[in-house]
This record gives sequence, C-alpha cells and structure tokens, in this order.
Amino acid sequence: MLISIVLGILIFAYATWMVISFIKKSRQGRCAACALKDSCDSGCSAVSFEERQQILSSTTHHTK
Amino acid sequence: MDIALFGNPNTGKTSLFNHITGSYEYVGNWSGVTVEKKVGRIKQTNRSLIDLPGVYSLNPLSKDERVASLALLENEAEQILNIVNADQLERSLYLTTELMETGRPLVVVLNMVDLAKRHRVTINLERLSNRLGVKVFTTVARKGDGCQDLIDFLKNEPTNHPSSFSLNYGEVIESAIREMESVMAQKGDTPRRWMLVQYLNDNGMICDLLDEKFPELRGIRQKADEVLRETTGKRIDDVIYETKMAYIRDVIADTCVLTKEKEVFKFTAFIDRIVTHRILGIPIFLLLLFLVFQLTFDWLGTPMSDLLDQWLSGPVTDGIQKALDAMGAVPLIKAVILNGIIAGVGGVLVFVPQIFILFFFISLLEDSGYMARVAVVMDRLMEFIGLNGKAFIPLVIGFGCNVPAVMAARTIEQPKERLLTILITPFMSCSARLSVYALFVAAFFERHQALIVLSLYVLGIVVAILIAKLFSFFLKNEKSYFIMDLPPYNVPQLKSLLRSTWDKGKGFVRKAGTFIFGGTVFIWVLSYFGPSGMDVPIDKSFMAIVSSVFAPLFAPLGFASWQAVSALITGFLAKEVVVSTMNVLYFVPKGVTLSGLLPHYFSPLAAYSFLVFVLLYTPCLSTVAAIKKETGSSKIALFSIAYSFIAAYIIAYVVYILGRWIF
Amino acid sequence: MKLSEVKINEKLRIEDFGDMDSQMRRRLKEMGVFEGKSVKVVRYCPLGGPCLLECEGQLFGIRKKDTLCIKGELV
Repeated sequence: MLISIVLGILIFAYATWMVISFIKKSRQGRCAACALKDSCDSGCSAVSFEERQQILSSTTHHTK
Repeated sequence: MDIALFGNPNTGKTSLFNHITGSYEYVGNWSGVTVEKKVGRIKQTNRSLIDLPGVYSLNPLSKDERVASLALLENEAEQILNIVNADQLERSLYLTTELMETGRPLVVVLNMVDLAKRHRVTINLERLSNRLGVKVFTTVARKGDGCQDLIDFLKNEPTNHPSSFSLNYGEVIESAIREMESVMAQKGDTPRRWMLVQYLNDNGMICDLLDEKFPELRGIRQKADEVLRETTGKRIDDVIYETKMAYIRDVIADTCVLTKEKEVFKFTAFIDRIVTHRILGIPIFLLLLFLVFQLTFDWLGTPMSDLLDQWLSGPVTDGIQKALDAMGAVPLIKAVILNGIIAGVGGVLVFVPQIFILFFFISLLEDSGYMARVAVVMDRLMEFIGLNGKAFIPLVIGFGCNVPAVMAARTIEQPKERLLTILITPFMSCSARLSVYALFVAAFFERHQALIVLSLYVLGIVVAILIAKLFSFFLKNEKSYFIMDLPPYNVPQLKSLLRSTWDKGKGFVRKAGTFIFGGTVFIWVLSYFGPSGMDVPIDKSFMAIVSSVFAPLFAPLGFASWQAVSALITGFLAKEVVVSTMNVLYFVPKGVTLSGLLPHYFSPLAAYSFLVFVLLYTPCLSTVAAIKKETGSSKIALFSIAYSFIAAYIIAYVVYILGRWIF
Repeated sequence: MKLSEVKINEKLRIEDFGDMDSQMRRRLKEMGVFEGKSVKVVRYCPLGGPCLLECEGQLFGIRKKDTLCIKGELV
C-alpha cells in the first residue's frame, strides 16, 4: 500500500509539473517550446525575447 | 569584452562559432539561417562570442539582417571577428571595409582556404594583414582546422587596438561629411564617421535614426548627390561603392595570385546540371523526398520500430507487471502505469527510429547545399502565389518543426511575403505528425507506406500554395525580388551529420519523457474516471462524454468515434499526443498492437481522411505562440487557428467524398 | 544586349543595370556583381522561372524580369 502511495504521488506530481511547464513554455513561444531548440539555427539563442524586443525598439530612440 | 562574429551568409560563420565556442549548433548550408543572435563562450576563456545573422553589408534588407547592424549601433559588438570567404575575397572584403570604418578592433578570419586553394588562389597572409592593418587568421571551419590558433589568440591577446581605417571618398563627399559632422557637433553629439558614410550610402536604418534627430542632414546629402550627378553622372551611393571596391581591388592585386580564371567546381556544376534541370528539377526534388520516406518507412524504419514495439509490449510490459504484482501495487497504480504510461509514452517512443532516420536525411540535404537549389527551382511556383523562392526554405525547416520555421521567415525581406509565409508554414508536415502517419500507414497501407506519407507531405505543400494564393489577393502587393546565392556543394561530414541528427532527434525523445508523459497521465485519468466514480467502463468516462459531444461534427469526414475526436482535441497541445491518446483510449489487448486494432475502428479511407485532417488542422500550441510572437498580433494567431481548422475540415471532407466515389 | 538574350554558357560583361529595383541592384553589388563584371548564363528555369548565373566562380539565381534590366556586351 505504501509503495502504491509513493508511486502514485511520484507519477501524478511529475505529470502535473511537466504539463504545467510545457504549457508555460509554449505560451512563451519562441524556441523554449520547440523540439529542435538546441539544434536549430533559425532563431534560437541565449538572448531572451524581451531583450530582443528591447534591442529592436531602441533603434528609434537611439542616443549613442 | 564581447566579440561579435560578422560575415557574409554561407561563409561558415556558424561552423566557426561552434568550433571556437565549444557548443555544438547545427549548420544549415543555405543562406540566412541564423536569424537572431546567439551567444556562446569562447573555449578556455570567459569572453562571449555573439553569432550574428549573415549579412553582405551593414545596410539591412530583411528583418534578420537588422540584428547585425543593430549590434554595432548598440555597441554590443565591442570587438569584431570578421569571417571572410577566402574563395570570394572581393565581395567578402566589402563588408570588411564597412566594419573597419566603424573603428572597432577587428580580426579577420580567412575561412574556406581549402576552396581557395582548389581555385588556385594564393594569398600572401602577411601582406594582407599589413595592408588591412589587422590580424589575419586562416581556417577551414567545417573541419575545425586553424580554430585552435584563433582560440589561443583570443585567449592571450586583448584585441583592443581600434582600427583607424578610413577611405577618401573624394572632395564632394568628404565636404558633405564635414558639414554633417559640424551640424551634429553643434547639437552636442559626437558624430561617428562610419554612420555618416552609411547615411550617405542610403542605409535605411541609419537614415531613420539620424533624420529624426538631425533633419538638416537630408539637405546636405541631397546637395552632394546633385553635385555628383552633375559632375560625374554618378549617384552618391555608387561613388561610395566604387571607392571601396577600388581599394579592395588594390588590396587583392597586392596580396593574391590567381593562376587561372575561376570557374564553378566541376562537381558542383555536374550536380547542378541534374538537380536544377529545366524540367526535371521539381520531379527530382519529389523523388528525393520519396526515397527518404521509402528509407524511413519501408526499408529501415518500420522493421526497427516493429522490433521495438514487440520488445516494449512483450518483455518490458511483462516485467513491469510482475514487479508491480510483487510490490502489491493497487489496481489504480497498475492501470496508470500499464494502460496509461506504457501504452501512451511507449506508443510514441516506438517511432523513434523513423524520426531519427528522417532527420538524418533532412540533415544530409541541408548540409550538402541542395536546399538553395530547391529554392531556385521552386521560385517560379512561389512567385505565382505571391511569394519568392526563399520562402521555401522556412517551409522545408517546417518539415522538422514548425516553430523554428515560423521564425526563419524573418529572412524574407518583404513584410507581406513574411506574413504569408508564417501563415502557411503550419501546413508543412512536422516530425511530430510523422508519428501519427507511422502508426496509421503501418495499420492500413502496409504496401505503400512511403507513397502515402509522400502524398501527405505533398498535400501539405499544395494546400499551403493554394491558401497563399488565396490570401495574396487580400494583401497589398509589394515589389518582390529574389536573389539566391548558391554555395558550392559540400561532401557532408559523417560526424557533423550524426550530431545534427542527434540534436534534432533528441528533442523528440525528451518530449516523450516529459510532456507526453504528463499529458498521457492526464488523458488516462480522464478515461479512468467518470461521473460514477473510478474504473468506469471507458465509454462512460469523462473523456468519452466530452468528446462524444463533438464527435458528430466529424461524421462527414468518416471518423466520428469519440476516441478519434479526443485524440484531435488533445493533439492541439502537441501532435504526438494524438498517438499517445489513441494508445490509451483504444484498449489494446495483450499480444495485439494498436496498429493491428485500428482497422476495427477505421475504414482505410476514413483513416486517410483522418491523416489529412491531422496534417492540416490547427497548428500546435507552440506554433501558435510562435506565430503570435513573430507577427506581434493575437488576432493573426487566432486567425491561423480558425482558418487551418476550416481548411482541414473542407479538404478532409473532399478527400473522403472523392474517395467514396472512386472506391 | 540584354542579359535575357544571352545564350546558355555565354558571358556578358555588364555595362548597365537599367531601371532595376534599387534594393535588388544594391544586393547584387554587395554580392560582387556590378558594372564591368562578366556573368555567365548557366541555366534558364522553365516557364519564365529564375535564371542561374555565374560570376567569378560564384553561382546565384535571379528572376527573369531582372535579367531584362541588365545590359552589356558579349565576351
């Protein structure tokens, strides 16, 4: 019985965690959710999406 | 100190990046694959290297090229590593002169010296280094030759000698620059000469930037342009270009010996004669795809996955069952493990051989340089639907995964073409859908597996084309242009092929262990519990009750069973989940596989209609999110969900009706 | 003579880009294709598809309508 409870908790906790983190990652879009994220060359980078947006938007109010 | 890697497309930038930063990233041998910056740490140091998209100049045409120029404007690129194609020195050095003008410390890496040697080009390195006033290294980045020297240099020497390079563009331009400098200085800004040169060269990004702050500059440029036209008959940007080119030619004459006229390599010319043949070009592309599927399914993949299936459903299941019995696990736990996890996750994992084989061949096609040829062969067709041949490259990336494909659309210059490409990309059959095909073709179309799968891939392309044509009527027309660089063919290297196959394929395996696992458990829960409690007959479960509501909607398409509908609903999260859901919901008795069981629930025609629907319907959650991010619009993301569902419904319906009429 | 009239395997020395789209022309220049350079026609794709060209050992493809703009002399 004890073993059933331990297994049950492990399975359901892991499953919940995985589903939640997947949906979170997917909603972030970009590469975080992609199956090819470590391999593909078409856009994945260590630069976060927010950082990129910042860079792109800063062209218009450039001061340097 | 951050070092940024600049270079033309197809010069081996990403290979070099991978060799000197230690991280392995996949090399696409077609133009413009890196669409965003990538940052890595240079081996044996704590310095960062930024890999930027390939550019021909600092004057960006497409969204991804802007990133490279921005890195300079934002001072992110404090130091520059400029990779130069030794085999195409003249045009590669154009970017080099623009980079040297910025005054940043710069190191030149002459890559592809092996190709230059084959073209009988001899380069005097010492003299080149003296003439340019920068350190020059030689590498063959594909093989990693010369990379260690570069690392040693970056490790030991601070590359912080600013370059003082400057070209004299003639009196008219020089006085315009002086005038502009004084205007800017008056407003308290320190002018940077390279930006003014770019401004005069009509660099759209820099013009926007400076015009906003210094509206006077426009008039100065105009005046200089008029004077030049009157005196020399040339436009200002032509004069700047010619000055640079004269300098480059002088440098090359001084440092290089070309013993005979350059020609396209015989091997490349020979292959191109075949694959870009006038009439056979497109059929050869389709034939190659067919061969890949034949290998993936009939010849190699299916036998392997059958073995895997037997092993999973036999010894593995038995073993776990015995272990659970021995531990005295309660029925609930036994059911979730055996009917949930093993059925669902195992059902996806058995297709690992197929996925890896497919990725191996996709990597092979990419690495060889063939994809650029496909873009050319396809351009006529793409032009007809309001796109250009370049858009075919994101579409092919989509065969792997739609998310990077949506992002790769950034390499397309025209906003309208980019949007269109993003909208049709989800019709490209990704590897996740492949597991659904693998399951069904094994069950229904054992004799013609490759042909059926090919038909689905082609159907995806055809629907994408038709929909793009339809949309192009509603989108404003823009000038469209097409230039495609065709790099020489490479003999792919097995080591890098295997690595890129593994890199693409491991995502599938990891996803099975993480998200598919979690999703499967929840699907099992919904099928195990019902309003009347737990362990209800599966027809009375929550899953059955909810799905049955929607099931009649699919009756016209030939598959109204609630299990199929559940699979479609859960498949929105990720398309592999279609397979795991079916494995959980169709009770598979011992000794029978799901593909053996499916023919009781589907007619072959309904199965095909189901596959068509899975191919086309709503893009998965990750793709929808990528669409939203790339277009910056939730409306477009919602639209892509809605229209692809409608398109899938109509086309699956037509297929089913036509099929019934024929058979 | 227009580039579009050049036969396969013949070379044209470019004299003028005519009224080619300025962005297209810029890209060609950046790729090392400009006045004074010779380009060889490698292939015309069917149905008015792109034209494959070679310039100093480098292969590239451009559309038929752009080959109409490029003028020069046979070499």
